[in-house]
Amino acid sequence: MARATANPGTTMAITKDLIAASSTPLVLSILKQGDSYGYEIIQKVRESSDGALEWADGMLYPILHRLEKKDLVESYWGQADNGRRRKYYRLKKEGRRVLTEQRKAWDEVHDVLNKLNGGAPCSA
Amino acid sequence: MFRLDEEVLAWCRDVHPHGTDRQERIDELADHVYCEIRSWVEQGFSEEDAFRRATDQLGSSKELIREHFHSWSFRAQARVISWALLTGNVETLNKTLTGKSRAWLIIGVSLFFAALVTAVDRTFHTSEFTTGIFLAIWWTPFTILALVKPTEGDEDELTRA
Repeated sequence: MARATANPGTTMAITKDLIAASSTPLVLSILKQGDSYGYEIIQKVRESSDGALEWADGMLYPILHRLEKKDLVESYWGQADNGRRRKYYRLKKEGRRVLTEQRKAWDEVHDVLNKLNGGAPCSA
Repeated sequence: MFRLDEEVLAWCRDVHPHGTDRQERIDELADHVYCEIRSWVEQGFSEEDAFRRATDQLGSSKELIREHFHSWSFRAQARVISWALLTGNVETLNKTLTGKSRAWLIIGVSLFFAALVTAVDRTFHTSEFTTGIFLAIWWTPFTILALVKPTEGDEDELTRA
């Protein structure tokens, strides 16, 4: 569903498990910056990763709906600049707490990887 | 003549055939499709080409239905599957069931009907004819499920199961 470009000309497939694990902290991090909507979230993921991480558009909405069910985010209807209805998502207090927890967990994994690789970049 | 609004609406309705909050989900998806279309139009594509590219990018409706189906409540899923089984709606089953969920459904249906047939037989001492009808009802879902082709990515699901 998503592919990460390691170097021009070579592509490295990111496993579904890693995509699934990273999707929640990524979405929550984007919403921490401010309210957003589906299309914009996908664009931000693409831009933040310099195009390395491209989510399939279809996978985002089930994630957003799941986060809403878990009470981590809330949604409201607004209006797009073209006058159409647009659904925005906002981070809730519980979402901030979960994001903090998940960031700590990701940092720990990152530290372990760095230690095991002697601080060298993972591509070495 | 290509009518963009009608095409977008029809496509979104196809992706969201069921659900109590269907209209909201259609509106949300439609907004996304229009955003994609606008980006393609800005690159010089016609509205029709932009629509095709936008929907291709979003994925096949079958994939999307499956993605969304798993975010529905258990009740909504059960209602859709039950109705599809009762009406023999193979298309809906094909769009929503993965290998793993189909396996669970077969197990669930078989246990349910086995219990039902046993209970009815013991309570009413049914005739062979009635038992035969029950068995026929029991096998109907299996026949329908056998007609359902595995959805894309089933292999992954089965491997993980």
